[in-house]
Amino acid sequence: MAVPAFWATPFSYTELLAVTDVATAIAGIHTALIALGWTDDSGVGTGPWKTPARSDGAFFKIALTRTSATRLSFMMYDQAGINVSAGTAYCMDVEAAGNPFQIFAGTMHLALNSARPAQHESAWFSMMDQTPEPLTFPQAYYRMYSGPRVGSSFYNYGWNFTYCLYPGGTAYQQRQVAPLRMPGTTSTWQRRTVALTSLFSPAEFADSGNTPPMFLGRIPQAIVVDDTTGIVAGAEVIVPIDAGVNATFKVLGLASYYQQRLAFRKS
Amino acid sequence: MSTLTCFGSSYYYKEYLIASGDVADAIVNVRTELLTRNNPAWTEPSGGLFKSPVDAAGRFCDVLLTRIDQQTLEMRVRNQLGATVCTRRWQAGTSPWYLRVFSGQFHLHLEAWSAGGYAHLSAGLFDQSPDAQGAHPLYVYGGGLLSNVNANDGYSNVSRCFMADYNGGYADRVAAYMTGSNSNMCLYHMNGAKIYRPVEMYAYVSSTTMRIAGRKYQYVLCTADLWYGTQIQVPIDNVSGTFMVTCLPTAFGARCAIRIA
Repeated sequence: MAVPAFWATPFSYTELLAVTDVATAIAGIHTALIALGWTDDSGVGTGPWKTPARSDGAFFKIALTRTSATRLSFMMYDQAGINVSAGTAYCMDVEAAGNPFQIFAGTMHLALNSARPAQHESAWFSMMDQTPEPLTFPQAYYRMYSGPRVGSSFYNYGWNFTYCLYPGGTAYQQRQVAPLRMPGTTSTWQRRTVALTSLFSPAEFADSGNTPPMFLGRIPQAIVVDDTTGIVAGAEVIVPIDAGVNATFKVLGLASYYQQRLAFRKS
Repeated sequence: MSTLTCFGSSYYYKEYLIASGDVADAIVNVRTELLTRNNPAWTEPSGGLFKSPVDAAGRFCDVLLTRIDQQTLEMRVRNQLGATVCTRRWQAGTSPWYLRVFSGQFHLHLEAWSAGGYAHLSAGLFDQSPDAQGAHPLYVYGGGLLSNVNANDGYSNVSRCFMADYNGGYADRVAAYMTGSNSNMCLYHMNGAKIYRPVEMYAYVSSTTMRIAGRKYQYVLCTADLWYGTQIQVPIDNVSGTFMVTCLPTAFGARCAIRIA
């Protein structure tokens, strides 16, 4: 076997220190995306930015708007041009006094983390990896996190709370989907062995609202971690992803969801 | 990557006609499988007591097969410490029936296919990788359709087996691929393709906390629309394995299949 496809997509990690104006974040995101082969529709660094086309032609776009110096607004569009969040402009804030801002970019994903001291604000967008199934069937599949805020209202939903388009559907829905290996609601099935070795799983999801639940795919370069081990936002974990290959993942600031947190690859 | 350790152990499969309808003949055939066909072979320290090959980490289990009466076979499973994991039975009826023996250095699964239905008895060790084998002591499991008083109590199925863990040998859950509030495992891709997964078992380490104990050797989870006895081809690396769907009762929309080739 080789490294699975979802660990093999190009990716990068950028941390901007003391961001006081989201224009700085947009410029940093632009630099990161262009370096990975995304294209800037505006040609002048204002986006929208389009992912490299997958082998089946699938792509998505991200539009970023500086609502104010401290507020970054974003929209996601699928390859058909449909607004994934049905027109809702989610946004994230930075401190007026500045805070670190992390950019996890890839050819099939983008995750952002504004490390505000009191509460991180995070967002992620992705085209899901569905290997080993063919890419073109039934459809490219996109997900976008429903948060962290709309205007001044801060939601910090569970990170499984997303927009997605289901097979046969014609419009994106705001749905909660379950990560595989999810602990039950009455018992704790920890992502650890009896010998206390942590289990870091690919960020795989199933449609828990359907019976049988269907496998929806994976966020490339992302894992789910068990925070009963004390892992918090910003923590970094080193995970073997193949024989002799270690990867470093950093935990986003999204709220814990049934003892689970989402982390993206840093190196 | 290489083949998962749980698919790297020995495996054998054979079906026998028990024309006499007497479980004594089943014990004879199981003896032939474990002592003669298996390599590495099991041993028989005393009559009907079979001990699995001891691996490099010193792990093993043993099973005691006892003829209770013509149609009733009992299997007691003990762990490496000599503690009884479970004592389970089947009743195969008195008419001729078929015995199916799935065996290997780390697993033994017996099935009785009779006019009255299907029954099973099971025992084995878990693959504990990537932890070192033997990294924790909860690696022996057992099961069987009926209790030691011939009650079909539902404690042995795809999601339940017996272990000498915190829960005192009560059934545990194969929970690795549950999806939160949904009661079914995720074994279908959104395009309808079937997904096969290793059988990972959790153990209770307290009254409310379960952690992963390991994977059953040479088992896969499969969808419940595959009937008992169905043979399926599953890619397990750059090769495919042939697995047969067992008669372990369905749970959470899943069945189990064991490798036969």
